[in-house]
Amino acid sequence: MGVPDVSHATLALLQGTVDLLILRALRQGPAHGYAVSRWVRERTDGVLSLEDAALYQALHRLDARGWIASEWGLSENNRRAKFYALTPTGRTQLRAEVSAWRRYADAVFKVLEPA
Amino acid sequence: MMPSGAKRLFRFPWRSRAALRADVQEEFQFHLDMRTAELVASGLSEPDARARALHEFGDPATGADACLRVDADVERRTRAATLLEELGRDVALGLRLLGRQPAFSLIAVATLALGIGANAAIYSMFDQMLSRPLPVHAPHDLVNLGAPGPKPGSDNCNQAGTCDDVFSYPMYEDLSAVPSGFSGIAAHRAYDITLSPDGSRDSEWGMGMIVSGNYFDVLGLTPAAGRFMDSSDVASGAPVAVISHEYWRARFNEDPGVVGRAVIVNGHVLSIVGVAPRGFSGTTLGIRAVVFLPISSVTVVQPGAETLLQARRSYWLYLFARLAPGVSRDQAHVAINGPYQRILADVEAPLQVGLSDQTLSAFMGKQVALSSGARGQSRLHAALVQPLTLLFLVTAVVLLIACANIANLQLARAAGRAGEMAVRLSIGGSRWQLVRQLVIESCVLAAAGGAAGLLVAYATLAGITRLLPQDAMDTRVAFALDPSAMLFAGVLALGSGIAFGLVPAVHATKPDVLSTLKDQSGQPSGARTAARFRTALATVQIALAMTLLVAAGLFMRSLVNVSNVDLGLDPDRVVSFAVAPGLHGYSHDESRLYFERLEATLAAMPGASSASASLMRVLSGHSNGANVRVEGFEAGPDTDVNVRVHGIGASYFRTMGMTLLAGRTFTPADGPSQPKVAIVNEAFAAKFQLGPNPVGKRLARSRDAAELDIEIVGLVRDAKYADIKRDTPPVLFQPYQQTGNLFGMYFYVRSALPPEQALAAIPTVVAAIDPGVPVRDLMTVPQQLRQSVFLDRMIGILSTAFAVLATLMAALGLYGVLAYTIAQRTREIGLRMALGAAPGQVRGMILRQVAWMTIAGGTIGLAMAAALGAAAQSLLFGLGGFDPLVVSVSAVLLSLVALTAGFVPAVRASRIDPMRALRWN
Repeated sequence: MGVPDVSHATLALLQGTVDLLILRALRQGPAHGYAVSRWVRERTDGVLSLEDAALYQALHRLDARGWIASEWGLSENNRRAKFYALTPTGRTQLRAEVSAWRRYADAVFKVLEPA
Repeated sequence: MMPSGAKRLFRFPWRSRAALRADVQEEFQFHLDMRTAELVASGLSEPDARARALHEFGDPATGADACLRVDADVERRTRAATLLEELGRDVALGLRLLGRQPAFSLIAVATLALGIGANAAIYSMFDQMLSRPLPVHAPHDLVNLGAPGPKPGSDNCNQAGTCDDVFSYPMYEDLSAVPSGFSGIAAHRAYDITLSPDGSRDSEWGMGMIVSGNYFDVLGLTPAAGRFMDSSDVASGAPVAVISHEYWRARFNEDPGVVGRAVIVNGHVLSIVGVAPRGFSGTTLGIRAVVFLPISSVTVVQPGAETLLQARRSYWLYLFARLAPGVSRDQAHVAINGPYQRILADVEAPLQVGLSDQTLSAFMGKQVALSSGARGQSRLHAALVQPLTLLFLVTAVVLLIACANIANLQLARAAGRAGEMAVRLSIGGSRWQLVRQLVIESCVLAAAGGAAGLLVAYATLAGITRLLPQDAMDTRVAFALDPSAMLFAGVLALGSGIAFGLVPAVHATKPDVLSTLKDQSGQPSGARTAARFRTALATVQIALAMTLLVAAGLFMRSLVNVSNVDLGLDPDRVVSFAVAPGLHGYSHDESRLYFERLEATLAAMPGASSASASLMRVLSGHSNGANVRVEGFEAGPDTDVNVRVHGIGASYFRTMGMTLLAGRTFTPADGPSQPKVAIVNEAFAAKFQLGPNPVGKRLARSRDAAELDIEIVGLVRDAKYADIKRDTPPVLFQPYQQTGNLFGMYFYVRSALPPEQALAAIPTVVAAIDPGVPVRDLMTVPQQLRQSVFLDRMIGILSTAFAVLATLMAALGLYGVLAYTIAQRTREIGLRMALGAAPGQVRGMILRQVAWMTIAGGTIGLAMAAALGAAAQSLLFGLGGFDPLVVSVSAVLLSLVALTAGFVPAVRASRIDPMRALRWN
């Protein structure tokens, strides 16, 4: 699908991006993995599509790192589902990463725009 | 939003890997189902939708594994953190609770400290004396060589092993030359020597070891400085020496320039070629060698031994070897014995004359015996195995009793805390948490006990060291608590903490303790089992204490027997010492004159009533023998004509308080060129059927001498010779002037002065004749006798101390059980008294329980003591392993202690006020 030719150099960037997307998604409130996946697809219009397996790995990793917390609960259709929520650490982290991304993107744009 | 850390508080503890995997799978399944439903809603068919959802998801298996790895890691870390945190809380709580009951804690810690300390002390001895391998390369590949069987000629052995273990030098060379399963065979022998660094005039006594050229090679050692000696030193007979690291430090300040300097051994100047590695002092426990000489220097340590290296019939060298790689001890045994027996048959058998056919065939059938050489060669190993094992056993029993005591105390406390436990269980504490809390409390106690136990161990070792022979202090083993003994104490502490903590903990947290909450009668249910268990514990304690009491009684009686042996001489007020002018350049005749002068000088000391000399220290385990031919006694080739010999001064019998029965004593007129004379003891006269008066009979100091050149001039009453515990052997006394070797001499002074004054005066007197001849082994004869039976003393004193300790602990345990039982039965006893029971009856009831426990425990204890006595038979002197007197005294003693321990609670029970007891809740 959408992601062409992923080289090693961009993989690390991608991983960081996945973390950022998850944290951003959870700013809206606790959600299960499927909701996070759907949120990402909708917000990026499918441009930044990523494999769900990778998304779940990232969720578990962030959980282990303490940026998000998980808890089993009931989904909108009454099924047992694992819900994730931002922790205060995760919130701080999100702010830091967003501003870092902004600076990064600004710098890249400055280079790309004709002087 | 959930607060951070909330997950940890509410998450279910202990998740298995399977549970974690199921969670991940459920999470993935939920996702796939939701996505499929969404796609179906947007118009796809069910199979297409599922396939698309799966495609978007990627590889679920790999994803699940990755998630699982992360989750399992988290789980592990949380688990460890939780455990650690809870452990810390439990320890803190334990400390707080114990601090609240200082009396209990103090008793428990003291009891444990005694138990653990005693064990650590004995373990430390055991480890140092019996189990530690030599500090050499691959010690377990070393084997010791021995050659039991007839050794016609002369043999001579020392602490490194028995006379079964010694070889002649020519045989050593032959064995080294034949192909065998060894990568090398080494030979050694230790001697008392005097030595001094070059330029220093004060020589001191020490142990010198002559060794084969490959000795250090076979051990696989590396010199701390310089080089080791090698076979070229032996071949050239170079005057070289290797010094011990200890001596290097003490006398040369670890100067690396020591190589090439000289050390003076017995007056011979030897060039130092190297220093042995740190911690290495030879291969014999009990002999701390300070200097090593090549075997070619044997005349340095043994003047006059010029032909010793050629003598096939002189057995004196100790041999050990290193197994060649891949060769087992059994294979090496086969490999060495073929050549050995060929040498015996071809070379040695033709040299033997006058052997009976029987002895000759035994001689030819001799085999080299191999035993483990990892710990080196020492007679101490064999001598100490049994006593130390026994003491180890005894201290283990003491620790058992200590643990039983604390288990008992813990049970009593647990009963008092039944309410606390019930509440904690009812508000959701898990049983595992409570048991853990209680066991940790025990472990806290045990840790404190273990720490205090190290002090006890240290004191015990200091006490044991004082019991050991004086010369052992510097030449044998330095008793110190090393890390391995501390580790042992730690393991013991932890083990006993769990041992005495677990049962009370499991009991105290039985779920039916819950009934305690409802039932306010004050009798926790399960108390009956607990009471039974505690009674059993106290009974076992009594049994163990009885065992130790009987054992201690046996060893004490044995020690008394040893102390009361009729020596046949009077050692009180006699002091003795040794000098060896032969080591300081004196010739044979000069030595003789020196000795005669010293005898006269000593006899003239203030307070001295007589003084004399002997070639060998009496009653020290040393022994010299010779074969004799006696006038009128027919001896065949196999008849035992061996006697002990003793070269003595003219006033020896008077100085030692021995009784002359017939004839005369020696006089200064019995000089070296005068007719040879001898005095024999009663055992000698009996062995050679000399009748009541052997004076005038003649003999020779050889089995087949043509001329009987010695005349018997006196008969002396039997007196112990080498060993207090052995029967008096036949002894042939000769004037020392008329015997061959006058190298060194022991002197004895009978003095009216207090021993300390006599001891203090002697070095001055000796130095006045020649300051260059140092005094050694200066002590009173009674002191020396005590040292010669140090093992008996050590076992007797330690086992008694431990038995007393054990009995007191058992009494404490008994008291605790009774006091607790009576507290539990207050209502019942009150009721009985209200119904008319007299105080005497109540007392009787309690004391009857004591009597039953004592009888049961005592009987079991006696049975165990009988087994112990039978096993320790060889350590006992003058009594059997079952001694009625010891058993009766122990039984009476134990009963008295038990009744005393029971009396206080019994009286307290009889004073219970019925009215108050019935109201008591």
